[in-house]
Amino acid sequence: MIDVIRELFRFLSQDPLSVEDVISRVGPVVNDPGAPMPIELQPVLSGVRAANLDRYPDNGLPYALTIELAPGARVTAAALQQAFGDYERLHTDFGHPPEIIFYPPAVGSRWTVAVIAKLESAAVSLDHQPVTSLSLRRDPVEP
Amino acid sequence: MYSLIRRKFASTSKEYSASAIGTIVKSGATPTKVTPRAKDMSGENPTRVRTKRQRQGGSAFTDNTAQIHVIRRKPTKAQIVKALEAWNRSIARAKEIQQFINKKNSAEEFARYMQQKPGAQPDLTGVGEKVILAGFAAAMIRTQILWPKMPLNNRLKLIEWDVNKALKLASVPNLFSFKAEKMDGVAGYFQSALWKFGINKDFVLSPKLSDDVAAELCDTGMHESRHAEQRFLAACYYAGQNPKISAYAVAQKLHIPIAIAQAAVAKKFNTTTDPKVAARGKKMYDAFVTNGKENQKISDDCYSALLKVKSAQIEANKAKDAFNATPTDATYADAITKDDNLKKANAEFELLYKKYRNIPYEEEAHEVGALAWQAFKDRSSGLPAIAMGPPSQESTL
Repeated sequence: MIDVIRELFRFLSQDPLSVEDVISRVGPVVNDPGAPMPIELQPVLSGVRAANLDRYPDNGLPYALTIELAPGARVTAAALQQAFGDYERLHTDFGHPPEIIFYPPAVGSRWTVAVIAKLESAAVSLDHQPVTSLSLRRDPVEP
Repeated sequence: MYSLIRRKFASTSKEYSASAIGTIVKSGATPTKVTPRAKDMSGENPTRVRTKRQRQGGSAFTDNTAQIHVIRRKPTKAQIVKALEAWNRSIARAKEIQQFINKKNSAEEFARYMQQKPGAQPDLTGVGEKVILAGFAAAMIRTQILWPKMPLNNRLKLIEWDVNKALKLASVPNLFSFKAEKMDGVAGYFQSALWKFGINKDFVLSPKLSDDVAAELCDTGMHESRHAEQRFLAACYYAGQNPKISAYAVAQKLHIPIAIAQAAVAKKFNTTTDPKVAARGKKMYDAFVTNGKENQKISDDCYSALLKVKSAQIEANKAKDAFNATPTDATYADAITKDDNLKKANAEFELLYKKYRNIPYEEEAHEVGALAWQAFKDRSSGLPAIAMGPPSQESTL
């Protein structure tokens, strides 16, 4: 699974990248209610059971791809750490599972991709928690 | 006063009517401390029973025969009735807690909260401005009318449009993502890392938007919008601390998208910033960043405490039912133990929930949510006519 995630990370870092490119890579459209609501995709990726694509409201370019991992494909936070470096815990509201964020170095010249992982629970050390879903957020590199 | 009887638990008769209730004490290494349940029953001090060996200066139950003893104390019918009432009260309180979490911002609750803080006034700047809250409530009336004719996507679009309008009026960047999701016991959330508002899908599935649900939507919409505003103000404050700071640094510090950080850098606080707004920005920065870990722990602990209330309530219910079905020494003792556990869980949750509500960003967001709820409930008194909804949608739907 970690290879699929790495591959998506590299794919989303590329420029140019259109919504159509992401759809071709991840899976066909199930529902598109229009931005800022995400496009629901039917993922064809191994280990991914749901996928949503958000677009930048101003130019319609791909903003964030969120994938929900199948129970058998849930990597741990530690596995992501090996792939993307150190993480920081994000603030989450009462009743929500913990989330962590990785800021891997950019692999392209125009876009960086932050990796946001939702974990199963805060019950034990976060490192060992399985990741239930992942959002790959595209940010333009500052001029 | 009841006499204390100590005898082997494996008595010939376990019938409740023929026996008394007390603490089960397992022999062996377990000390003989008697739990304070005697106090619950009679209002007297907990009874400490000493074994013969203890009275002689030794420690209790040093043999290893693992015999189980019951220290008995016969309750009256009145006491049993009282105990049953107490169990019901604990269970009812646990249910109240769980319902309260799902519908936490009623006007009554808000009024109570404000009374607990004499002299406290809600902050009515930004998203909390009366004109914005009332405008959002007015827009909800329009949404109610259009609701039955609209497919799910259009309902969502209308809510999202109103939230973004409110954010724009408060000079906060619009949402990058808005999504209805299945949620368990949660109305919505704001995720700053994606600049996203997640809303409970149950809100939009109903064929009719009732007054109660519309009021809850006002509450949730403004509560989460307040969180967006808070995060943005914190970013503006942080950007203002260093005039040469990059948007990338602000984005990583506040965990927000770079596009939002760029907007914060463009609006960074300076000497001309309204001191009240600047103070709020610092307060939110401190709450999210400086004291972020501690505040997150309060939220996590509070949620764990809620889960404990749920499980303790299930156990207490089971024990009460078991006693009602088979009133024996054992079922009575078990029901008392489970009731004690539930009381402790309730008390622990209430303590932690107060701390949670006192986290600066939650305090503000709950206030604003409750005021929006109130604005909708008070709509008969007249709301300002602000154009919140998209006319094109209104005319075509």
